[in-house]
Parts: sequence; C-alpha cells; structure tokens
Amino acid sequence: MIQAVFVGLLAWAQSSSNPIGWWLIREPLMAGFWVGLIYGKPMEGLIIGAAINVAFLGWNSTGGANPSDLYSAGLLGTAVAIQSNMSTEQAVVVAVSIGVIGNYAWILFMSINSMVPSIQDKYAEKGDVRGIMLMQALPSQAVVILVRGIPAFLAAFYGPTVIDGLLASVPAWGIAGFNTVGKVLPAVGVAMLLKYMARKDLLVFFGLGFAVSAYMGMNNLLFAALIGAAMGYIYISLQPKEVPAGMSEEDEI
Amino acid sequence: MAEKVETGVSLTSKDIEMATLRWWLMSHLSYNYQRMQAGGFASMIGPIIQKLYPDKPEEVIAGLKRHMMFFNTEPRWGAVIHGITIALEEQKAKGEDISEETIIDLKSSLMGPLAGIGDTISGALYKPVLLGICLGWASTGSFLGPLAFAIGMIGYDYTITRLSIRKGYQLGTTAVTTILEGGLFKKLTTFFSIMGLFVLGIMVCKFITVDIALQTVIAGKKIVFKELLDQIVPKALPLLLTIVSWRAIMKGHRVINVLLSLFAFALIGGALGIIK
Repeated sequence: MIQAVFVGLLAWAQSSSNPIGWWLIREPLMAGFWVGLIYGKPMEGLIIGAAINVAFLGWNSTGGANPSDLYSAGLLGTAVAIQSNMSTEQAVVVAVSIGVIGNYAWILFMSINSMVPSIQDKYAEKGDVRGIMLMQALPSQAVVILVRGIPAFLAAFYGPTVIDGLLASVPAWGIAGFNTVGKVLPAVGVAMLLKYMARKDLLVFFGLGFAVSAYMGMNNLLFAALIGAAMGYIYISLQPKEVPAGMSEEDEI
Repeated sequence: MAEKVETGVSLTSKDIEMATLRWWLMSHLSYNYQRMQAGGFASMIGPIIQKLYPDKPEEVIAGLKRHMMFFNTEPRWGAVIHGITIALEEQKAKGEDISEETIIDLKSSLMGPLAGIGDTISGALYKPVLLGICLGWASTGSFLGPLAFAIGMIGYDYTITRLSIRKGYQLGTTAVTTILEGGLFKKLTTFFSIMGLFVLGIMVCKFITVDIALQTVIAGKKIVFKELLDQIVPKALPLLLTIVSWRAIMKGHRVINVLLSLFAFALIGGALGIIK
C-alpha cells in the first residue's frame, strides 16, 4: 500500500513537466531505478527499466507519433514486473502495452490544461505577473495528480494481481511467444531513431557499426561513441570549405 | 503627440539569469493544446516587462498580452528567441521604434525553424547517444547508467538553454542568421549523425536479442539454422527487422501499426518455435 502510494507520487513528479521530472524520473531507465528502490530491489528495477527503455529509444517529446507512452511504460511496467517477478522480456511487453493506454493520460493533460491560458489572459489584462506565474505552475499539478498519480497508484496496487492471473492462464507456447515479443520490440525503437538520424550519404556508418558489432561481438557503447566521434571529426575535417548559397548576395549590405 | 515611451531602464546580467531559470523550470508546466508554451513564455518575460516599465501599468498589460500569444519551440535551442525578444523589449522600452508586430512576427517566424534544429540535436542526436551508452551500463546493473544520464541531460539542458538566451540577447536580431549561415549547424548535425549512426548500428546487435530457433534433421544430421546463418551474417535477423520497420515508417505507415505487426510476428514466431 505505502509502496503503491510512493509509485503514485513518483508518477506525479515524473509528469510534472519540468527538467527535473524529465531527466531524473521520466526515462524508463531512471523510473526503473526509483521504482526498484521503492520495492527494495534497485538493481532489478534498473535492469528492467533499461530493457523497457530500449523499446523507447526513438520516443520523441514533440508528441504526435509515439505509439506508446514513455512515462507510464517505464514506471508502471517496472512496478508491475518487479512485483510479479517477471523476466525482462515479459516486462517489456507489459510496459509497452501499459504505454499504449497511457497515451490517453498525455492527451488528457494537454486538453484539461487548455483552460489555463484563458485564465492567464485575465491576469494579463490586470498586468498581474504573479498571477500568470501561479496559474502556470499550480493548476496543472492537480491535473497531473488526477491523470497520472492516481491511475499509477491503482495500477501499482491492483496491477500485479491482474497480470499474475493473466499469466497463470497462458499456456507454455504462449509464454514462449510472449518472451520473443520482448526481444523483438526494441527494433521499433531503433527504427524510429534511424528515421530521424538516417542521411543517405552517412548511412554507411550505420552499416559499419553493425558489422563491427555483429562480426566482432564488440558492444561497448561508450567505446562505440568515442570511435564514432573520431570518425565524425575526421569526416567534417576532410570536407572542402563550402561557400553557402546566397553568400554573395550579402555583399550589397 | 508621438511621444515615445521612454524609461531608460537597463537590464542586468542577473535579470537574464533569472529569466533563464524561470523559463527552464516553467516552460512546460501547463503545456496545453490551446497555446502550447505561451504561459511559459509570459512567465519568463513577465518580470522583465515589469522592470522595464516601472510606472507604466498600461505598457505592462500590453506586454503581457503580446506574450500570451501561441508559442511553441524546442525549449533549449529555441531559447535564442527569448534572448532576442528580451533585447527587443529592452530597446522598445528605451524608445526605439520597434512595433509590437515586429516582436510577435519575430517570435512566430523563428519558433518553427529553431524547433527543427533543437529537436534534431536534442531529441535525435544528443539524447539517443547518451541514452545508448547509459543503457549499456544499466542493463548490466551498473548505477553509473542512471547517474551519468541524469548529469548528462540536466547539464546539457541547462547549459544550452542558458547559452541560447545569452547569445540571443547579445546578438539581438542577427542571432539566428549568424547561426544558420555560419555552417555550424550543418557541421554539428553531420558530426552527431555519424556518431549516432555508428552507435545505432551496434545497438541493433546489443539490444535486439531475437534469434532463429529453427532446426531440422536431414539425413541423420542436425541442422541448426542459426549456426549456418551466423557463418554468413551474424545478427542478420535483428538487422532485417530494424530495416523492415524503418522502411515501413519511412513509407508513412503509422508507428503503432509497425509495433503491432512486430508484436504479432514475434508472438506467433515464438509460439511456433521458429524464433526465440
């Protein structure tokens, strides 16, 4: 009970829409760690959170095209998985499913908040800066508690029982399929990232990274980032100095 | 009659710092469909407007109203707009001939391009690379993962926001053209793209752990398909899944449909024992 309350509070802090919430709690990697701490298993939480996070690598905060909600997937996925002693693969599947429902929390947050600017307009009419700032900071916190905090508490409290019941009724081949889903879903995360990053002329570096890892088994990502940075530096250093189009028009200024 | 509103109040470095802090903490607090970050922008610039017009309440009201207009950008790199706007408001208060329309037009016309730049660098390049590295640590149970991510993101977020506002303020209206025409942005994105794509190639092998489970017995010999394939292209299945999903997204298929297709593929393939 107390633990579920903490999960609810965490859900509130996570979705309070400021850098502290974004970077210390929102990402499943971080949420997993905190939830693990609440349930006395920080390392398990961290590992589960990291596995969930991979499926969300391409998640973008500008909204719109996200298939599943990052906030609830990481937080509640870990909370449910850790209480039910799930494998990380199963946790990813549960998390992504939770996130599909969780998307509605985001839509609710943005919709209910849409009343705020109209109230802020009234304070602007009076020249009341403090009023604008208070309206900016306070009402939306109540919205977050309503659409995030309370549902998270309920999911953390009742979710494991429901999921346990579901799992118990699934046959062995179903569990095998379920586990495979968790190993495949990260492909969506990587594919979404590829969509943002891919430039035809630079795609060879993606192939190079894959080849190095596939054939040599190298999968230390910090090492990879360093090599990647070195290659990036060499690449831009070797490019001829360009004269940007439209530069000559500036002469008349 | 054409009396200029002149107060002569100058902003100090501290005013800019406080505006930065307000924006950094408050930009998205009441993020909404109606006007997105308008309330955040007004909260950022409100106290500055108040300071610029100490005995002109009607100017404060006009200022607050013009900054309650729809606004939405990437909050870090896009804060260049905030710096420029503060500079313009200061000059306007000192009697320069800057109309309200100029300020509104400038904000509206810059928020799109800067969101594009910011989302690319923050969302598609810096964060994924840092996240990839930290996930590598975290998946082995190392607390260095969350620690490095938290420091790396908070540090980046505040530093870029602060620099953007300062640069925007210093350079006034020329800020964005300087950044865009200096070729710096192109170089930065090329650099990050190379680094990101290389790391992404490795992530395919590291994080997509599905494999072929199929095996058969031909003429008394056990044939394990995975071993055969590994001799040609190891990790071919993760690569194939990534590329198929990527092409599908590029062709305009909705991500949720790609996700559900993969879900079904894995569920059926796993249940039948073809993949594991």
